[in-house]
Amino acid sequence: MAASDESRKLAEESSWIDRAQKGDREAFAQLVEHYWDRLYRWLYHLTHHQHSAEDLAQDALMKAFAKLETFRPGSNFQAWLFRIAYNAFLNQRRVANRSRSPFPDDVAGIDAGPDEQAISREAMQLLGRAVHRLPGEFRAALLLRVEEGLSFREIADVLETTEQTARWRVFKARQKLLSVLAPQLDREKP
Amino acid sequence: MNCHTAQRRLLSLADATRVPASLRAHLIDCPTCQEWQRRVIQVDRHIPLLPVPPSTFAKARFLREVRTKPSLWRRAQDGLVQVVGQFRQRQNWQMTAAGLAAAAAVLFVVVHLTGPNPGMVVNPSRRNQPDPLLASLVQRSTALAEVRQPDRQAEILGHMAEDLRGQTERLAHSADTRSSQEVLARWYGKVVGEEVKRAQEVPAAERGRVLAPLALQLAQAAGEADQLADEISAGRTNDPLRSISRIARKAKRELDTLRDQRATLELRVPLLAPRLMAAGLVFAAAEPGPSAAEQALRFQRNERLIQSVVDGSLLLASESDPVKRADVCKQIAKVFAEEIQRAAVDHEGPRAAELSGYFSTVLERGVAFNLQSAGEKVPLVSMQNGPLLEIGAQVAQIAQPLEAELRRDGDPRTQTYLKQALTSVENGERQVREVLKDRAKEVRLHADPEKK
Repeated sequence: MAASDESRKLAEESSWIDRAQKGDREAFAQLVEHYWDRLYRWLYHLTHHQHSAEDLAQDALMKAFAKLETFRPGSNFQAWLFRIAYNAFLNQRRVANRSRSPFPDDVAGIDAGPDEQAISREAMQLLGRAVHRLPGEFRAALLLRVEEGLSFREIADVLETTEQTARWRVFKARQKLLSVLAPQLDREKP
Repeated sequence: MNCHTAQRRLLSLADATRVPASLRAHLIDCPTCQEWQRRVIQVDRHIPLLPVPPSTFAKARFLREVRTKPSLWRRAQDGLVQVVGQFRQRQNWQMTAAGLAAAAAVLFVVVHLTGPNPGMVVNPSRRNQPDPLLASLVQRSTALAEVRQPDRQAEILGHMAEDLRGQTERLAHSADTRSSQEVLARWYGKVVGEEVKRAQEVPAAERGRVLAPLALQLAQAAGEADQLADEISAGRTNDPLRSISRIARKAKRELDTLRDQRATLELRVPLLAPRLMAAGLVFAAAEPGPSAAEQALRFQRNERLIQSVVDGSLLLASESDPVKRADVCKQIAKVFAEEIQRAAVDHEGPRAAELSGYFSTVLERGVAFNLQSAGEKVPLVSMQNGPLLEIGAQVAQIAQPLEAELRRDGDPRTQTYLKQALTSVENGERQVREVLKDRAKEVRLHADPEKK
């Protein structure tokens, strides 16, 4: 069921892309609906600034819109879009120097899944701050892996690097997070 | 394998829940590494739960602009020239000085390299490119065919008006396109007029919510039309643009009266301006879009189709009887069928394929949808089925000769397109037939009871 659902979603996305390439604005709006939240979320984690993330998301989607005819049907649209966004983020970082917002500590009740996997509110806050403090490249790669489910190959496409480097960045990010969280997780161990 | 290696491998896996056999063999016997694996999984699973401020408003605003601003589409597709012209006029943008200086330098180069030549002969490859205006208007029209609520109708008509205004503005850079601009401005007036009529039907309690964005859209339309007219006038007047501006202002005043507000004509400069700039910058690296002259030729080629869609839309907005609405859509489809036929005979495969797509959409969303709607109130065996079945028969009369033409063996270069066109036409006709099949069967049975 999951596999057929996935292929149905891909087929739907292909249809939107095809129609948008022919001038169908509603089809492009569907792509915006589909990707905005994920793109914004990733950009928020990169910028730590809500309005910057919103501006960048909009910027990336506009750029994707403008060069849609260059997108190769059948290739990974998400990686293509996120690459555009990442380049926009890098460009913006060069010219702007916005003040970063502190990591929001108002973490709501967490339920990650099976009870034995859930972590405490304190650990969650610690995790959030640790992610916030990761070097940008590591953070970008890690989030593409765990939030977007991209393969290392696709992460490399987005970040315009090699697959080996993408894997290494995710490795370093996890290593850092685990070292920060270890004391807290030790305390919470049953 | 030792624990150090195992733990490093776990950190570098794509998914720590899926471990290779060699690593699994170590984990089975190592509680320390099992705990390590558990923590890696925990961290991966909790990161997506980290809170992020919502961006609901920004998303909604952007979606609204994507859906309602043909200028967005146009500017992104046409490249920099219009964007530069409009950007100079904008008052409310947020780019930093450093970014502006860098962008200006690039713009200078790009404008000189890629500026359009209004006198350019039509590029043959562009002749076959889909017409975004026609595509958008067909979408609007079929959306109107599916709704009867005045608030939705007013909104769709507002979008349609914006499509027409956008096209007028695209043509405005070339004086040779004056007659086309005038036609478009006339249609704009009709559509906005109908939009106001629909707005009058909106219940009073909902007017504030429904009419405010429409009024804003009209205010922006008036401002942008005037702005562009000022930019390109160079001593001559641009009547179509001024006419659009007057129509938009008048309509806005009428909507304000309906809302019982005394709003001034405040122009909200879209915050999208720097993004349009960025989009234009990106597009500048690609091939420039069609010139005003090419667009005018494309408009003239499709003028009859566009007129049928616009006129049909006005009827759809004012007609509530689904049978009559189905008939209106059938008439639109008929005009498309004639053009598809012409394209097939002239071996214009891409054009036949493009128009067949619209034909199918009109039949499915316009005719079939309304026949289905009408049929919900009519029993399977009823005299009232007559008009429904008559429309079905007329659709078949339109589609079948067209299908025969598309099946004809012809130029191998256009075969693929004609097959695609045939598929679209057959699909549209099938949608209508499906809706009526039970009724048609009942009529046949009653005509010949021995067949029961």
